[in-house]
Amino acid sequence: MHQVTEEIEFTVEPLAKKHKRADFSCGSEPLDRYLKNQASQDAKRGVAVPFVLVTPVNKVIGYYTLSAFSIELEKLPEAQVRKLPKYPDVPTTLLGRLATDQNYRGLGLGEHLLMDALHRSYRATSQIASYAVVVDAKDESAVAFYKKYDFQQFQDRANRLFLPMSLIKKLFS
Amino acid sequence: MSTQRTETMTRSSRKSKPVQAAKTHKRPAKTARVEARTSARKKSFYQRAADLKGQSFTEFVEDSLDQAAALAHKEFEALELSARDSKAFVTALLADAAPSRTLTAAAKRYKERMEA
Repeated sequence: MHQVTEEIEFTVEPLAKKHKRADFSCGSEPLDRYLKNQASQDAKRGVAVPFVLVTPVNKVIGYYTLSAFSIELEKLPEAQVRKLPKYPDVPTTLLGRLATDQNYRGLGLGEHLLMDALHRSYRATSQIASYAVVVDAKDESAVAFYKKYDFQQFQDRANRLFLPMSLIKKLFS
Repeated sequence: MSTQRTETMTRSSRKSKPVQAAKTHKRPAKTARVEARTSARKKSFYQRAADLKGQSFTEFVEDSLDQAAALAHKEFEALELSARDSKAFVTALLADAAPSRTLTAAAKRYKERMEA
């Protein structure tokens, strides 16, 4: 394990041309490929908004994507439904991808990216309704990572977890 | 597939069935070519499948791509929950729970870094 050092300087910004991502390597080939080949196109088409964690020389060492997402509910008791804003579709925010460079592990960058994603998702609710942040977990260690930060796993969709926006609001307001 | 001549992606009306051809069929204003290189073996596998369904190769490709694309879009745009997951989700949304100590500490670290 690396020694934890908080020395590294970085910022989180929406992906732009100036960001260097050729050397990005997170240990998952599809996640590397997404950042290098697809992320800009997704941003242009409005499919997803990629945010990158960059060093002062614009080297990308982490990223995540946010997009609008809908949770479709099964039939529920009338009493519960009445309290819901939009039944049966609940607008949410999807944190579709989150990755950090493997050469910068142990610095808490993953946590920082997750908090940044939650913060941005919460701020966006002033413009667009969203009642939860939903995440896609690629494997068991990703599931454990999100659970550590209060995310609740769907029983029948084990690769997806969520965190209610009402709870996120308490962190940032 | 590139060896196969496909003029357009519009569905060809079959000459043997004038009734069907007479149906008002809106022709898309613009068409585009879809090209993909594959192995000869796969190509004939696809062609046989199209034959079995009584579709032209173009029709078969278009239908199959439609389905695959819809599935991919859906996966990134919406999630259909089971009954018990729906219940758990709604219960959590309405519960108004407080964040754990771990999450609160993480948010605090984040805010401190942002202010630094």
